[in-house]
Amino acid sequence: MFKIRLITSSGLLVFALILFYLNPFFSGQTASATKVSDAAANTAEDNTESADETKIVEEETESESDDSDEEDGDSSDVVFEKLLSYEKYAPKFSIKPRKEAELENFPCMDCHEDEETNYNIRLLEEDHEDYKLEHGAERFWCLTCHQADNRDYLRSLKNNAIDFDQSYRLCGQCHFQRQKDWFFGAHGKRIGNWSGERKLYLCTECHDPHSPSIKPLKPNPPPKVRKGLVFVPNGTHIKKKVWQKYLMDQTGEKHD
Amino acid sequence: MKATFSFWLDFIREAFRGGKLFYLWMTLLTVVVFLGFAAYIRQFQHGLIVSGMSDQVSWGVYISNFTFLVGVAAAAVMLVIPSYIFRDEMIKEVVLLAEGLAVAACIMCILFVTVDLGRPDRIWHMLPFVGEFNFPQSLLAWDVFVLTGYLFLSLTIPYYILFVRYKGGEPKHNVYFPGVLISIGWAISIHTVTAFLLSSNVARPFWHTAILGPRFLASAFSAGPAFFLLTLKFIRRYTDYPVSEKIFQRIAIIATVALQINLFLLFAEIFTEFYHQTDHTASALYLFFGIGGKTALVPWIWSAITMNVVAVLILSIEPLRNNSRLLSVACVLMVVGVWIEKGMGLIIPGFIPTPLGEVFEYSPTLIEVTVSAGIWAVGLIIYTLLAKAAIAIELGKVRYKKLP
Amino acid sequence: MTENLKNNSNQVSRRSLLKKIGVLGTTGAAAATGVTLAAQVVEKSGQEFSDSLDSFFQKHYRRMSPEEVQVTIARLQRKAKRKYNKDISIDTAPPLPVTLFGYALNISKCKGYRKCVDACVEENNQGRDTQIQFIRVLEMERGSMNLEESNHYYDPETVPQKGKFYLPVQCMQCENPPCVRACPVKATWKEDDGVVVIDYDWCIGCRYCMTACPYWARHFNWNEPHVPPEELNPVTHYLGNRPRSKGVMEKCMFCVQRTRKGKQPACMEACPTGARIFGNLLDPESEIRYILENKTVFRLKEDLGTEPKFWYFTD
Repeated sequence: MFKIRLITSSGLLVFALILFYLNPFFSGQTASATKVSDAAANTAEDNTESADETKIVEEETESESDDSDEEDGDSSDVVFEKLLSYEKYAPKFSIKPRKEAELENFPCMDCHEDEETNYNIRLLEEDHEDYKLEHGAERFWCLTCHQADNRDYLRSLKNNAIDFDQSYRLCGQCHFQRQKDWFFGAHGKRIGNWSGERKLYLCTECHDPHSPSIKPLKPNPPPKVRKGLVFVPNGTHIKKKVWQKYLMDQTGEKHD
Repeated sequence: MKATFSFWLDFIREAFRGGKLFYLWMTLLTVVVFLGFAAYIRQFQHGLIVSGMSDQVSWGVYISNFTFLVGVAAAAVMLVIPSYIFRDEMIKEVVLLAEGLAVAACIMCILFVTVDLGRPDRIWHMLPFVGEFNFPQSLLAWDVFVLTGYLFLSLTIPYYILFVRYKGGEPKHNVYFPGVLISIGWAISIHTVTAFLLSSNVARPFWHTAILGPRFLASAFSAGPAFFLLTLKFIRRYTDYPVSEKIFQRIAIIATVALQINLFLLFAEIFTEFYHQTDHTASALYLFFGIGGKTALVPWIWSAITMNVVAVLILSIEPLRNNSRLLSVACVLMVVGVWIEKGMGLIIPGFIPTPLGEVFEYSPTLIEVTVSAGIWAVGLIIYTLLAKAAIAIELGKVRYKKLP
Repeated sequence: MTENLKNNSNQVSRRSLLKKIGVLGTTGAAAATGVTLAAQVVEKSGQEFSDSLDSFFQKHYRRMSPEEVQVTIARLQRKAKRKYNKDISIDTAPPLPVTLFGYALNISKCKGYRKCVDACVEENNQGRDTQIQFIRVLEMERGSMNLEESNHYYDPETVPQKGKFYLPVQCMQCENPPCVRACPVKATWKEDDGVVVIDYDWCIGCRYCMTACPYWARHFNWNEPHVPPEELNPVTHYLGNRPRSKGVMEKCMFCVQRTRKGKQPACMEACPTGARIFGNLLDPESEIRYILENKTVFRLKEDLGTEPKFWYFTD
C-alpha cells in the first residue's frame, strides 16, 4: 500500500519536473509566434512598403502585441519593454491626426521622389531654409529624425520607420519621462472631454519639433479692480532672499 | 389690559414730551436719520457698489460698528451684575437706563447687519422653518439668534419693572431675578459669539486667535460703561433724575479694570504676533506699520492706542479719576479708542492682506458714513425716548390712575 | 406677444369696418378691441409683476419639487429673455454617479498667459462690468511660496518672466468647506460630486462665506452684473453659469454645466499648455489619479484642514 503511494507521488514529481523544465521552451515558442503574427498585422495596418529597406520598428511591434502580455507578465522581456514604452499600459487613447490636415508639404515624397538624397550634414539653404533647428543642441540634423529614403516617414534611432501621426514614438526615445506622462495624461492635452473617448494632441501640436520650447507670449490683461474703485498698484512686498541678506550683511548694507 | 394700554399711552406721551432743547436734539437726529435713509435708498438701488468695500475687503464700517455696538449692548449687563447679585442699591438706580442703552445698541446692531446685506429683500430666508436657518453650523446664525434673544430680554425685564412701578407697586425679586440671571449669561454670550464669528475663520489668521473672545469682553466692559457714564452725565444735567457721584465712581472703576485688562490682552496679542514673526503677522504688520507703503490704518491704530493709554492713566490714578471733567475726557478717549481698536483696527486688517496675499486698502465712502451716522441717530433717538419715559416713571411723575 | 396683439386688433377693426353694423356696433367693436388690448397689456405687465412676486417667494432649490423646479426655470428663462432678449436653457443635471471631481494643475507648465481666466468669464457669464474673475493667476517669486510676495496684476510684454513662476488659484472645492458652514441660510452646499455650489436666488449677500474662504475663491456682485447679449452663454445650469443678480455671491463650480456632461471645464479646454487636468477621483484609470499617485503634488494651505480637491504638481 505504502509502496504504491510512493511510486505514484514520485512519478508525479518527475512529471512536474519535466513540465517545469519544458516551460520556458513552450513559452518562448508562443512569444515568437505572436511576434510574427503581429508583425504581419502591423505591416498590413500601416501599409508600409516592405520593398524598401524600412524595417518594422521592433519596439512598435512589441508594444502592439497586447494579447501576449498576460501570459509572460513577469519575464525580463516585459520589464525591458516597459522601460521602452508605457504605451500599452496607459489607458486607451487616440490622437488627433496631423499629417494630412496640418502639415503643409505633406506628402513629402511629392517633391523628394525625384531628388537624390544628400547625406552631407549641412545647413539647408535652398529649401526649408526657414526651419531653424533649435533642438538637440547641434547634435541633430534633418536625417536624424526624417527617413532618408522615404520622406513620408520619420525614423527611429535604429532607423525604423515612424509615421508622422505617431511622432510621439520618435520623441519618446529621448523624452521618455515626458512620454510616459503623456501616455497617462500628466503631460500634453486631452481634447474636449474628461470622460469617454480619450483623444490627445500629438507632441507636435504644441511643440515645433525644430524648435520645441514654448515661446513667450503677451499675457491676457490683468484683473481689474471692481467698478467704482480706483486701481492702486499692488503693495507687493518682496522680501530679500536668504543669500541676498547674507551678502548684504557682509557688505554692511541694511536689509529690511 | 386697561392698565397695559394706559401704560403704553403714558409711556409714549412721556417719551415725546420735552422742552426746546429736547425738540432741537430730536430734530437734529431725525435729520441725520433721513440723510442716512436717503443714502441707504441709493445703496439699495445701485447695490453695495456705492460702498468702499470690495472683494478684497468685503466688510467695512458697517460690520466694524456692529462689533463695537455688540460690546456696548453686552456692557449693560456689567452694571446689572453688581446691582442684582450684590444688591448694590446705588447702581440699581441706573440699571434701567443701562438696559435702555442695551436695547438701542441691539437695534443698531441689527440695522448695521441689515444694511450690510446684498439682498435685504431676502432677509426672511433666515427665519427658522420659513427659510433655511443654518443653525447651529453657522456662527452668523448664532449671532442672529443671540442678538434677538438679548433684545427680547432687555425689553422684557425693564418692561416688567416699569410696568409694576407704573401701577404703583414694587417689582417682585422672584419674578425678575431669574430673567436677570439669564440675561447675564446671555450678555456674555452675545459678545462671545460675535468674537467667535471672527475667530472661527481659519482663513483670517489675524482673527484666528483664542484671545479674541476675552479681548472682546474686556473692551466691551470698558467702552460700554464709559459710553453709559457719558450719557448719565448728560441725563444728570438735563433731567431731574438723581444720579449720585458715587455711581460715576462705581462705573468708572468697572471701566478702568476692564480697560486695564483690555490693554494687557492687546499687549499679549502684539507680543505673540511680533516676537517671532510668521506669515500670519502680515495683518498686524499692516495695521501697526503698513506694508509696501500702504499705511491707511497706521495713524488710526496708534491714535487708538494713545487714547486708551491716556484714558487708563487718568482712570488708574485716583485723584485724576475723581475729577469730574477729567473723568469725562477719559471716557470719551476710551469710547473712541475702543471704537477704533475694535472696528477699523480689528475688522479691516483681518482682510488685509487677502488670503492670496494682496494688500488692498479700504476707505469708507460718503454713503457708508452717512448710513452709519443715520443708524447711530436711530439708536440715539431710541435711547433718548426710552430713557425719558423710564425716568418719568421711575420718578413717579406718571402713575396709573384707575378711572372711577 | 406684441405681434399677436397687433394682429388681433387689426382683425377686430377690419371686421368692424367691413360689416358696418351701425354706430353702436362699431363702438362696441372698438371697445372690445380696447378691452382686448388693455387685457393683453395687463397680462404682459401682470406676468412681469407676478414673476417678480414669485421670485420674491422662490424656494430654496433643494426644497423644490420637480414641478416647482420646472416652473421656476420657465420664469428664470423669461427673466433672462427680458434682460438679454435671448433664449437660454437652464439645465438641472444632477451629479454623475460614482463621481468625485478633482483638479490638478502643473505649475511647471503654467506660463501665466491668463487664457483660462478669460475663457472662464466667457463660459460662466460673469458680469463684464462687475469684473468678477473666478481664477487669479499669481506671479510668484522663484524660491518662495509666500503668497504675500505674489503679484496679481503682472502685465509684462511677454510671460513667463525670468525668476517667476505662475500659480493660478480658483475655488478648491474643499471636501471640508468653511464657506458652507459659514452660510447662515444654507444657500451654498457641497454636491455629491464634490462641487460646492450656490443657489443664487437664496443667497442673502451677507458675505460671511467670503470671509471664511482661505482661497479668496468667492466673489460678490457689488452691482447688477451685465453681459452683452451677444456674449451671453445661453447654455446654463441652475447651479452653474445662469445669469446672476446684484448682491449675491458667486464662485467657480467646476463648470457643472459642462463637466456633468463629460466635457472639460472651460479653463482646462482653454489652457494652451495643457497644465490643467480635470477628472474623476474615484476612477483609478483617470489621469488625475495617475498624477496624484505618481507625481509630487501639494495643495495650498493644506494645514487649514479644508481638504481641497485642487492639487498642484510639477513635472
